[in-house]
Amino acid sequence: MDITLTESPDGIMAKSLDALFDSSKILANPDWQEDMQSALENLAGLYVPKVSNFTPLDLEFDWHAMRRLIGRFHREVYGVAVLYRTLDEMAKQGGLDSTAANNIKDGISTLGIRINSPAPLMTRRVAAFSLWMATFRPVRLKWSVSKGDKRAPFFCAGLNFWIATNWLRRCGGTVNLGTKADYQKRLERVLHDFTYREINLSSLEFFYCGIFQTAEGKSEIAGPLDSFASELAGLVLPVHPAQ
Amino acid sequence: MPALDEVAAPFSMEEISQRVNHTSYPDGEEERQVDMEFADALAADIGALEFAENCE
Repeated sequence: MDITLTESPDGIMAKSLDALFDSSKILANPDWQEDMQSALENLAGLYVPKVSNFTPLDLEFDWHAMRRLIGRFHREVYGVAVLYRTLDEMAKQGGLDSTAANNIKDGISTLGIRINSPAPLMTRRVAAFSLWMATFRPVRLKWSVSKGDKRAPFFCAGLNFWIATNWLRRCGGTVNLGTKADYQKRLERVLHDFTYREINLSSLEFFYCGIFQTAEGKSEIAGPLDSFASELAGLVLPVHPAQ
Repeated sequence: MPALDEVAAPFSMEEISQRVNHTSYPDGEEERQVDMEFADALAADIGALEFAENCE
Protein backbone atom coordinates (compact mmCIF):
# COMPACT_ATOMS: atom_id res chain seq x y z
CA MET A 1 0.00 0.00 0.00
CA ASP A 2 1.43 3.31 -1.04
CA ILE A 3 1.15 5.61 1.98
CA THR A 4 3.42 8.62 2.21
CA LEU A 5 4.88 9.93 5.45
CA THR A 6 2.87 13.12 5.11
CA GLU A 7 -0.45 11.33 4.81
CA SER A 8 -3.00 12.42 7.42
CA PRO A 9 -4.44 9.85 9.86
CA ASP A 10 -7.83 9.94 8.14
CA GLY A 11 -6.12 9.48 4.77
CA ILE A 12 -4.23 6.45 6.08
CA MET A 13 -7.41 5.12 7.64
CA ALA A 14 -9.42 5.58 4.44
CA LYS A 15 -6.81 3.77 2.34
CA SER A 16 -6.46 1.02 4.89
CA LEU A 17 -10.22 0.42 5.16
CA ASP A 18 -10.52 0.39 1.37
CA ALA A 19 -7.67 -2.13 1.14
CA LEU A 20 -9.74 -4.49 3.27
CA PHE A 21 -13.30 -3.94 2.10
CA ASP A 22 -13.54 -2.10 -1.23
CA SER A 23 -13.92 -4.92 -3.73
CA SER A 24 -13.47 -2.76 -6.82
CA LYS A 25 -10.00 -1.82 -5.59
CA ILE A 26 -9.11 -5.21 -4.16
CA LEU A 27 -10.04 -7.13 -7.30
CA ALA A 28 -7.90 -4.79 -9.42
CA ASN A 29 -4.91 -5.04 -7.08
CA PRO A 30 -2.37 -7.84 -7.64
CA ASP A 31 -0.74 -6.97 -4.31
CA TRP A 32 -3.94 -7.32 -2.29
CA GLN A 33 -2.33 -9.68 0.23
CA GLU A 34 0.53 -7.35 1.11
CA ASP A 35 -1.80 -4.36 1.13
CA MET A 36 -4.32 -6.02 3.44
CA GLN A 37 -1.46 -6.84 5.80
CA SER A 38 -0.21 -3.23 5.72
CA ALA A 39 -3.78 -2.03 6.21
CA LEU A 40 -4.22 -4.09 9.36
CA GLU A 41 -0.85 -2.95 10.64
CA ASN A 42 -1.74 0.70 9.97
CA LEU A 43 -5.16 0.41 11.56
CA ALA A 44 -3.74 -1.25 14.67
CA GLY A 45 -1.17 1.56 14.89
CA LEU A 46 -3.87 4.21 14.58
CA TYR A 47 -6.14 2.47 17.08
CA VAL A 48 -3.74 1.78 19.93
CA PRO A 49 -3.10 5.37 21.10
CA LYS A 50 -6.82 6.20 20.78
CA VAL A 51 -7.84 3.38 23.08
CA SER A 52 -5.00 3.35 25.60
CA ASN A 53 -1.76 4.90 26.80
CA PHE A 54 0.18 2.43 24.70
CA THR A 55 1.92 3.23 21.42
CA PRO A 56 2.33 1.34 18.15
CA LEU A 57 5.74 0.18 19.46
CA ASP A 58 3.90 -1.78 22.17
CA LEU A 59 2.12 -3.92 19.59
CA GLU A 60 3.06 -7.46 18.70
CA PHE A 61 1.93 -9.07 15.43
CA ASP A 62 1.60 -12.74 14.64
CA TRP A 63 2.36 -12.59 10.93
CA HIS A 64 1.48 -16.21 10.28
CA ALA A 65 -1.94 -15.69 11.83
CA MET A 66 -2.26 -12.43 9.90
CA ARG A 67 -1.69 -14.20 6.57
CA ARG A 68 -4.15 -16.97 7.46
CA LEU A 69 -6.75 -14.36 8.43
CA ILE A 70 -6.24 -12.42 5.21
CA GLY A 71 -6.39 -15.57 3.09
CA ARG A 72 -9.58 -16.90 4.68
CA PHE A 73 -11.26 -13.50 4.64
CA HIS A 74 -10.39 -12.83 0.98
CA ARG A 75 -11.45 -16.30 -0.10
CA GLU A 76 -14.75 -15.99 1.74
CA VAL A 77 -15.73 -12.48 0.62
CA TYR A 78 -14.03 -12.04 -2.76
CA GLY A 79 -13.58 -15.65 -3.92
CA VAL A 80 -16.75 -15.78 -6.01
CA ALA A 81 -15.93 -12.45 -7.66
CA VAL A 82 -12.46 -13.75 -8.54
CA LEU A 83 -14.04 -16.86 -10.08
CA TYR A 84 -16.50 -14.70 -12.07
CA ARG A 85 -13.58 -12.65 -13.36
CA THR A 86 -11.68 -15.77 -14.41
CA LEU A 87 -14.75 -17.09 -16.23
CA ASP A 88 -15.31 -13.72 -17.94
CA GLU A 89 -11.67 -13.57 -19.05
CA MET A 90 -11.79 -17.12 -20.37
CA ALA A 91 -15.00 -16.36 -22.28
CA LYS A 92 -13.50 -13.17 -23.69
CA GLN A 93 -10.39 -14.97 -24.88
CA GLY A 94 -12.41 -17.77 -26.46
CA GLY A 95 -11.18 -20.41 -24.04
CA LEU A 96 -14.70 -20.99 -22.75
CA ASP A 97 -18.11 -20.62 -24.32
CA SER A 98 -19.98 -17.71 -22.72
CA THR A 99 -23.06 -19.89 -22.17
CA ALA A 100 -20.90 -22.41 -20.32
CA ALA A 101 -19.39 -19.59 -18.27
CA ASN A 102 -22.86 -18.40 -17.29
CA ASN A 103 -23.94 -21.93 -16.44
CA ILE A 104 -20.95 -22.28 -14.11
CA LYS A 105 -21.88 -18.97 -12.46
CA ASP A 106 -25.44 -20.21 -11.99
CA GLY A 107 -24.08 -23.41 -10.50
CA ILE A 108 -22.27 -21.57 -7.74
CA SER A 109 -25.55 -20.94 -5.93
CA THR A 110 -26.17 -24.70 -5.79
CA LEU A 111 -22.96 -25.29 -3.85
CA GLY A 112 -22.60 -25.01 -0.09
CA ILE A 113 -20.62 -21.79 -0.22
CA ARG A 114 -21.48 -19.47 2.65
CA ILE A 115 -21.09 -16.29 0.62
CA ASN A 116 -21.97 -17.08 -2.97
CA SER A 117 -22.48 -13.56 -4.32
CA PRO A 118 -19.80 -11.73 -6.34
CA ALA A 119 -20.82 -8.53 -4.53
CA PRO A 120 -21.64 -9.35 -0.90
CA LEU A 121 -23.47 -6.86 1.29
CA MET A 122 -21.24 -4.61 3.38
CA THR A 123 -22.58 -6.07 6.62
CA ARG A 124 -21.69 -9.53 5.35
CA ARG A 125 -18.16 -8.41 4.49
CA VAL A 126 -17.55 -7.04 7.96
CA ALA A 127 -19.12 -10.15 9.51
CA ALA A 128 -16.59 -12.31 7.64
CA PHE A 129 -13.79 -9.97 8.68
CA SER A 130 -14.80 -10.10 12.34
CA LEU A 131 -15.15 -13.86 12.23
CA TRP A 132 -11.62 -14.48 10.94
CA MET A 133 -10.11 -11.67 12.99
CA ALA A 134 -11.65 -13.20 16.13
CA THR A 135 -10.44 -16.64 15.07
CA PHE A 136 -6.79 -15.78 14.41
CA ARG A 137 -6.39 -12.69 16.63
CA PRO A 138 -3.13 -11.58 14.98
CA VAL A 139 -2.46 -8.44 17.06
CA ARG A 140 -1.83 -8.04 20.78
CA LEU A 141 -0.14 -5.79 23.28
CA LYS A 142 3.27 -6.97 24.39
CA TRP A 143 3.14 -8.86 27.67
CA SER A 144 6.07 -6.88 29.06
CA VAL A 145 4.12 -3.62 28.92
CA SER A 146 0.54 -4.79 29.43
CA LYS A 147 0.67 -7.49 32.13
CA GLY A 148 -1.81 -6.64 34.84
CA ASP A 149 -3.91 -4.50 32.50
CA LYS A 150 -7.38 -6.05 32.57
CA ARG A 151 -8.23 -4.60 29.19
CA ALA A 152 -5.20 -5.95 27.38
CA PRO A 153 -6.69 -9.40 26.59
CA PHE A 154 -9.49 -7.64 24.70
CA PHE A 155 -7.24 -5.47 22.55
CA CYS A 156 -7.64 -7.44 19.33
CA ALA A 157 -11.40 -7.76 19.84
CA GLY A 158 -11.71 -3.99 20.22
CA LEU A 159 -9.58 -3.41 17.14
CA ASN A 160 -11.70 -5.93 15.24
CA PHE A 161 -14.97 -4.18 16.08
CA TRP A 162 -13.45 -0.73 15.56
CA ILE A 163 -12.27 -1.59 12.04
CA ALA A 164 -15.58 -3.23 11.09
CA THR A 165 -17.77 -0.39 12.33
CA ASN A 166 -15.53 2.30 10.86
CA TRP A 167 -15.92 0.70 7.46
CA LEU A 168 -19.71 0.62 7.89
CA ARG A 169 -19.59 4.26 8.97
CA ARG A 170 -17.50 5.08 5.90
CA CYS A 171 -20.24 3.49 3.78
CA GLY A 172 -22.70 6.11 5.05
CA GLY A 173 -25.52 5.80 7.53
CA THR A 174 -25.00 5.19 11.22
CA VAL A 175 -23.89 2.48 13.60
CA ASN A 176 -26.28 2.47 16.52
CA LEU A 177 -25.61 0.47 19.68
CA GLY A 178 -28.55 1.91 21.61
CA THR A 179 -28.86 3.99 24.75
CA LYS A 180 -25.79 4.78 26.85
CA ALA A 181 -26.33 1.87 29.22
CA ASP A 182 -27.12 -0.57 26.42
CA TYR A 183 -24.23 0.77 24.39
CA GLN A 184 -21.70 0.05 27.12
CA LYS A 185 -23.10 -3.38 27.81
CA ARG A 186 -23.10 -4.27 24.13
CA LEU A 187 -19.52 -3.07 23.69
CA GLU A 188 -18.58 -5.20 26.66
CA ARG A 189 -20.32 -8.21 25.15
CA VAL A 190 -18.70 -7.66 21.77
CA LEU A 191 -15.22 -7.54 23.26
CA HIS A 192 -15.88 -10.57 25.42
CA ASP A 193 -17.48 -12.64 22.68
CA PHE A 194 -14.84 -11.72 20.09
CA THR A 195 -12.21 -12.89 22.56
CA TYR A 196 -13.62 -15.94 24.28
CA ARG A 197 -16.74 -17.28 22.61
CA GLU A 198 -17.42 -19.36 19.54
CA ILE A 199 -19.00 -17.07 17.00
CA ASN A 200 -20.15 -17.73 13.47
CA LEU A 201 -20.78 -15.83 10.27
CA SER A 202 -24.56 -15.72 10.44
CA SER A 203 -24.70 -14.48 14.03
CA LEU A 204 -22.19 -11.75 13.24
CA GLU A 205 -24.03 -10.77 10.11
CA PHE A 206 -27.28 -10.54 12.01
CA PHE A 207 -25.57 -8.44 14.65
CA TYR A 208 -24.06 -6.00 12.15
CA CYS A 209 -27.35 -5.75 10.26
CA GLY A 210 -29.01 -4.92 13.57
CA ILE A 211 -26.71 -2.05 14.46
CA PHE A 212 -26.10 -0.58 11.01
CA GLN A 213 -28.62 1.78 9.49
CA THR A 214 -28.21 3.32 6.07
CA ALA A 215 -28.63 7.03 5.48
CA GLU A 216 -32.27 6.41 4.58
CA GLY A 217 -32.89 5.11 8.10
CA LYS A 218 -33.36 1.50 7.10
CA SER A 219 -31.08 -1.32 8.09
CA GLU A 220 -29.98 -3.75 5.43
CA ILE A 221 -32.52 -6.32 6.56
CA ALA A 222 -35.55 -4.49 7.92
CA GLY A 223 -37.35 -1.17 8.06
CA PRO A 224 -38.49 0.82 11.10
CA LEU A 225 -40.73 -0.91 13.61
CA ASP A 226 -43.94 0.90 12.69
CA SER A 227 -43.81 -0.38 9.15
CA PHE A 228 -42.09 -3.66 9.94
CA ALA A 229 -45.22 -5.82 9.99
CA SER A 230 -46.53 -4.48 6.71
CA GLU A 231 -43.12 -4.85 5.13
CA LEU A 232 -42.93 -8.44 6.29
CA ALA A 233 -46.35 -9.11 4.78
CA GLY A 234 -45.29 -7.65 1.47
CA LEU A 235 -41.79 -9.06 1.48
CA VAL A 236 -40.65 -10.67 -1.74
CA LEU A 237 -37.78 -12.90 -0.81
CA PRO A 238 -34.98 -13.04 -3.35
CA VAL A 239 -34.32 -16.39 -4.94
CA HIS A 240 -30.67 -15.94 -4.01
CA PRO A 241 -30.76 -14.27 -0.58
CA ALA A 242 -27.02 -14.65 -0.16
CA GLN A 243 -25.61 -11.33 -1.28
CA MET B 1 -42.42 -12.09 -8.64
CA PRO B 2 -39.71 -12.18 -11.29
CA ALA B 3 -39.08 -15.34 -13.21
CA LEU B 4 -36.34 -17.54 -11.87
CA ASP B 5 -34.04 -17.01 -14.83
CA GLU B 6 -34.33 -13.22 -14.47
CA VAL B 7 -33.28 -13.30 -10.84
CA ALA B 8 -30.58 -15.89 -11.33
CA ALA B 9 -28.92 -14.08 -14.23
CA PRO B 10 -25.22 -13.90 -13.45
CA PHE B 11 -23.36 -10.63 -13.25
CA SER B 12 -20.41 -9.75 -15.40
CA MET B 13 -17.38 -8.10 -13.81
CA GLU B 14 -18.49 -4.79 -15.30
CA GLU B 15 -21.87 -5.16 -13.63
CA ILE B 16 -20.28 -6.14 -10.36
CA SER B 17 -18.07 -3.07 -10.29
CA GLN B 18 -21.04 -0.82 -11.08
CA ARG B 19 -23.50 -2.57 -8.84
CA VAL B 20 -25.03 -0.85 -5.86
CA ASN B 21 -25.52 -3.50 -3.22
CA HIS B 22 -29.23 -2.77 -2.84
CA THR B 23 -28.25 0.00 -0.49
CA SER B 24 -26.64 3.31 -1.26
CA TYR B 25 -22.92 2.81 -0.79
CA PRO B 26 -21.19 1.73 -3.97
CA ASP B 27 -17.65 0.45 -3.89
CA GLY B 28 -14.86 2.79 -4.79
CA GLU B 29 -16.76 5.96 -4.02
CA GLU B 30 -13.89 8.36 -3.52
CA GLU B 31 -15.71 11.30 -2.00
CA ARG B 32 -16.71 9.50 1.17
CA GLN B 33 -14.44 10.40 4.04
CA VAL B 34 -13.57 8.50 7.16
CA ASP B 35 -15.55 9.80 10.13
CA MET B 36 -12.68 10.46 12.54
CA GLU B 37 -15.05 11.80 15.16
CA PHE B 38 -16.87 8.48 15.19
CA ALA B 39 -13.57 6.57 15.17
CA ASP B 40 -12.16 8.56 18.09
CA ALA B 41 -15.35 8.38 20.15
CA LEU B 42 -15.74 4.64 19.70
CA ALA B 43 -12.10 3.99 20.58
CA ALA B 44 -12.43 6.19 23.66
CA ASP B 45 -15.55 4.29 24.73
CA ILE B 46 -13.82 0.96 24.23
CA GLY B 47 -10.82 2.22 26.18
CA ALA B 48 -13.03 3.39 29.03
CA LEU B 49 -14.80 0.06 29.47
CA GLU B 50 -14.37 -1.51 32.85
CA PHE B 51 -14.95 -5.20 32.64
CA ALA B 52 -17.03 -6.76 35.34
CA GLU B 53 -15.52 -9.89 36.84
CA ASN B 54 -18.52 -11.96 35.82
CA CYS B 55 -18.05 -11.00 32.18
CA GLU B 56 -15.16 -13.43 32.05
